[in-house]
Amino acid sequence: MAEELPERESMEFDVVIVGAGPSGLAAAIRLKQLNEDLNIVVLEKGAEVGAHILSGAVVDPSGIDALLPGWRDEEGHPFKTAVTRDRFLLLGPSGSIALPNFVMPPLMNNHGNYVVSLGNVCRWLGEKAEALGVEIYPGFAASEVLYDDNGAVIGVATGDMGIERNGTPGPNYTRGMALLGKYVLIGEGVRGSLAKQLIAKFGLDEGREPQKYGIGLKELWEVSPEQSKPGLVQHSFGWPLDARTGGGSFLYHLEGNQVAVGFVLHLNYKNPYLSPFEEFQRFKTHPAIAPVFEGAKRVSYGARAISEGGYQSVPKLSFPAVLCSAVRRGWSMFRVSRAHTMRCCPACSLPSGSWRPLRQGVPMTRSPKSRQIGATARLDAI
Amino acid sequence: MWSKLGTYAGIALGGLDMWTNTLFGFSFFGTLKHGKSDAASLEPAAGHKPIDYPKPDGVLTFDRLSSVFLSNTNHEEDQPVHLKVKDMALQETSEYEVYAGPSARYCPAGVYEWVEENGAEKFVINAQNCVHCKTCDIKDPNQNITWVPPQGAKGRSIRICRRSPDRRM
Repeated sequence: MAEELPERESMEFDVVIVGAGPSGLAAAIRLKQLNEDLNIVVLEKGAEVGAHILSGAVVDPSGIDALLPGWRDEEGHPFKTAVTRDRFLLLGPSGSIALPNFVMPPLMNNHGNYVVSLGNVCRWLGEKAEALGVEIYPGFAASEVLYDDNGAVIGVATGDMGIERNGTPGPNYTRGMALLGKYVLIGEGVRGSLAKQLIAKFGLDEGREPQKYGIGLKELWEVSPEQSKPGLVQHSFGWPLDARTGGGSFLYHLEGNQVAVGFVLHLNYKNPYLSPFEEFQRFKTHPAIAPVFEGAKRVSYGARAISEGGYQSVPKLSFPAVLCSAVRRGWSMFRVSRAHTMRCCPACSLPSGSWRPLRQGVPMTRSPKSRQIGATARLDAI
Repeated sequence: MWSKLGTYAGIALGGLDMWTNTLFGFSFFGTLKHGKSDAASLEPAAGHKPIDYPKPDGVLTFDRLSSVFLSNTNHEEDQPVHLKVKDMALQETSEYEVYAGPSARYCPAGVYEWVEENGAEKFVINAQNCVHCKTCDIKDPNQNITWVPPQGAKGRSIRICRRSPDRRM
C-alpha cells in the first residue's frame, strides 16, 4: 500500500512546531527573538489559530511578562479582565458553603491573574509570531512523525487529503507534505497522537508513574448584564459527584457579559455508568449556580482531556534522536500541562515553561553529557 | 492526586500540603503513587448500578448533539473514520458485555453508540461529532481506541511561498 503512494513534497525548516497553542506559539516567538534568521513553521489542526482552543481560562501573566515585556502598554492585547474576586464553594445537594479565603493556600490565589479567552490569547500570539516571520499553517494536522534511516526524528508529515470514507484516494486526493526540521517541537496538547507514538517508541515514560487525566467540559454563555460580574472566579467541589469521584467546577466571569462555565471530572472513575457530560449538565441546575444563567444564552461548547498526573507522571521531555545520524539531530519536547494548570501552578506556566528547555537544554551533539539539562543551547549556530 | 483518598480528605490534605510547601518550601508528603492507569480504573458494570440522569430542558441543560453543534470542530463526513478501533470483536465481548458500553457515556460528543440491529448490539462511531477531547484514547478499558487527527479541508495544499533557505545546514 505504502509504495503505491506518490512521494511527499518536502520543505525544510530549522524548527518544526506541531500545534499553534500557547506553548507552540510562545516557543516560536522566543526562537525568533533569539535568532531572527531561523526558519520556523507551526502546524495547526484547527481551521484557524485558536479554533480548537476552549475559550475561557484564568492565566498567570508571568509567562507573558517574560516572553513579551511591555505587552501591557499595547493596544488590543487579550488580557482584559483582571481577577477581582476568588470564591471557592462546597456544594451539597441543595445548599452550598463558601470556604473562607484565608484558609486557601496562596498557590490557589488568583490575584494578579487574568480571566481570558484562551482562543483570543492564541490568536494574539499567532499575530505576534507571524509579525516576527514565523510561518503558521492552520488547517493542517501533523499526522506522522518522520524518521531517517537511523531512526532519528527528522520532521513530521501532514495528513493526506481527499481520502474517501472507504479509505481510497478520491478525485481531490492530495498527498501530505513532509516538513523537515533540524528540531521538532511537539505541542499537541494532552494525549497528542504524535507524542503518544514517540513516548512508546523511545520509552520516554520509563520509570515514571502512569499519566492521569481528567475530562474537562466547558460552555461559554452570554449572561444577562445583571448577572455579569467581570473578574469573579468561582470554583466548587462536591455535588453532583459523590465523595469517591474526583472533580469540580469552574465558573469565570469574562468581559462582555460572558461566563465560561465548566466541569472537570477525574478519569480514574470506576463506575462505567457515569457520564461526565451529564454530571456537568446536572451541576448547572444547583440552586447556587442556576441563577447565573437566568435569561442567558449558550454560545459555545467543547470538551478536552487534561493531564492531572503531576510531576511524577511527566515523561522525559527532550531527547536527542536516539540513533542520530552525524548530520541531523532531532529532538522533541512535550508540553504536558495546559493553560488551566497555569492557574494553580504559576511556576510552570506555559509560555515560559515551553521555551526554557530550548534555551537551556537543547542537546546538540551525540555526547551523552549534552543530554543533561543545562547544556548550553547554541541556537544561533544552526 | 490526594483525591484518591476521597474528595473531602483529599482537599483537606491537598490544602495542607500546599500550605506546608508555601511556608517551609518543601512537601512533607513527597509524591504519591498513582498505581493504575485511568483505563484500568474502570470496573465491570456488574458491580455498579446505572445512574438516572435528568432529561435536558433545552434552556439550562442540553443533550450532546445540540452541544456538538456549537463546538467549532466540524469535519467533512466523507472521510475515513479517525477513531481507530484495533479489535472490533473486543468492543462487543468486553466493552459492551463486561463494561456496558461506557464509550456512549464518557464521550462528551455522542461519537459512540451501541444500537440494536436485527436483535444484536452494534457499535457505531459517529466520527464527525468528535470534538477532539481524546477521552476515548484514555478511558477505553481495553485501550482499543486510538485517536488520530482527521483530514483537514479537502484538496487544500500548503502554498509554497517561502524564501529559499540560503544558509548552510
